[in-house]
Amino acid sequence: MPLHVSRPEGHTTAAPLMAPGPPDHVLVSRSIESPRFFRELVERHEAKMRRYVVRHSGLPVELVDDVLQDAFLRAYVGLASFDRTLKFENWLYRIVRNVLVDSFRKNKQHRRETPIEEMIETPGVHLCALCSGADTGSVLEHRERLGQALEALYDLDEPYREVAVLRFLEDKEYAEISDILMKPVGTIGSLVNRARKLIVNRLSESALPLDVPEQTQGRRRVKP
Amino acid sequence: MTKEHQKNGAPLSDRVMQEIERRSLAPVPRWRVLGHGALQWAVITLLGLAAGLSFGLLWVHVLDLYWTDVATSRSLFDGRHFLQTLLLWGFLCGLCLFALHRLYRRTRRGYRASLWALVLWVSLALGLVSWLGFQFAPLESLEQELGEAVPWYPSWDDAKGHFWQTPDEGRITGHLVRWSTATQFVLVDGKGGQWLVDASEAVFRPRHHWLNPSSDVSPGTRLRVRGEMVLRPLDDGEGVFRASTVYPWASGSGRHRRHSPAGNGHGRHDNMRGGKEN
Repeated sequence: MPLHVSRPEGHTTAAPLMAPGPPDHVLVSRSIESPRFFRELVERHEAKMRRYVVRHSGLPVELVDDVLQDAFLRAYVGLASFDRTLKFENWLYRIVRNVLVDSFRKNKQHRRETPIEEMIETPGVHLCALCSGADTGSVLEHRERLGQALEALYDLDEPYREVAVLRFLEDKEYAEISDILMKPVGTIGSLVNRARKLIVNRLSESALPLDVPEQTQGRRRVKP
Repeated sequence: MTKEHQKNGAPLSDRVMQEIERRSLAPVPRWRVLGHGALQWAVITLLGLAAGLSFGLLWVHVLDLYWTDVATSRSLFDGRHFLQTLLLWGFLCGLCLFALHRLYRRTRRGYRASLWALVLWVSLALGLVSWLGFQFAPLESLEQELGEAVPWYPSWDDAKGHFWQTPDEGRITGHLVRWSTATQFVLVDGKGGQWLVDASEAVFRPRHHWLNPSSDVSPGTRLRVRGEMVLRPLDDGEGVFRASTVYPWASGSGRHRRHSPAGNGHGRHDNMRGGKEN
């Protein structure tokens, strides 16, 4: 899964060690005035959005590019409607997710093409927590559990899978998921807990022993 | 487009910028975003008002209805007609609330509100709007005019007139013409029949609104009278009716005040409770 693309000569991008540029909301304001500032926003968020599209949909690379391009163009046109109380990144997540939903509506026969093994390399913290049963487990066992958890996650029904990807793979907080999916935080909490329970049940059926910590963020626990 | 880009191998940011340039895209102007938001809230407000008024009318009608009388009425028309009106306003109220909810959820922060908080706030708003509509705006006149303007509308006022014009079942309605004595008055019903109403043992509802009926209930006031028919009016003669309870025609306080110079506007609840008594 190529996460990096080659840059043309002389073209600079924001590298991790370089001084961070202006904050997103400043760039948004500038981009409304002049489109050249939008390039920086695209470069800043491209990798994360690309990863999200792959994790959410498993689309092949060429389609991922299409989705991202469409999403960034939509974001550019709708810059004035950006709510500054939100994180720009979460607003982008929302647009990308809407583009994906539209794309699935158009092409209902879409099938996952990205192998799950690729995603094990960069699992979310919460997914690791879900699979980190005993400390005594070997790395291989841990990877195997991760693979099973990911399979269980992608077997979930759409509403659960959607929140599970954001929570367990993208490590988003409930409030952030609420902003992305435009659903109340309480609903998100219920969906996440239900998804967690389903994944845990699936993992429990496997031979590997598990000791799964329940993370409820202060919300009511789902009865097992 | 995709294949071409793949051939070029250009980074995403370049392709996005090229597309912006090629399609001459520009951000939607701020005023349009603000206008859209304002329009959204205007529609939400209108829907809220419509839901409040529908709920108010529904509430007035429910309070106005004498359920035991309707249940014992010999005419099937009454019950069916009342039910149609109630269902219509209930349906309209529900429809407005549904649309309101859907639209509110699409506002910038609307999705964040929990359903219970929404239910609480909408209930309070509905109660307030319907109370204001009942207290200050002539809800029943509005309904009456609607009945005249829309032919298929099952007007509550018509059904109510029909329902109360049943002397055989102990109900008459009409305008007070004059007081014959301190306890008897002449009433002309909707069909032109004259009634001498003996109110010597009658209770006037609301009681503290009409402390001294012979002076407080002025000629021209439309009344509903419950009691017993003693003599049916003949061709040009007067019928006689012994009243047990006398109510104003409308339960809305706005109209109540208009008909009664001595009105203090506090009689509504008494009137509603009084409706259940004999």
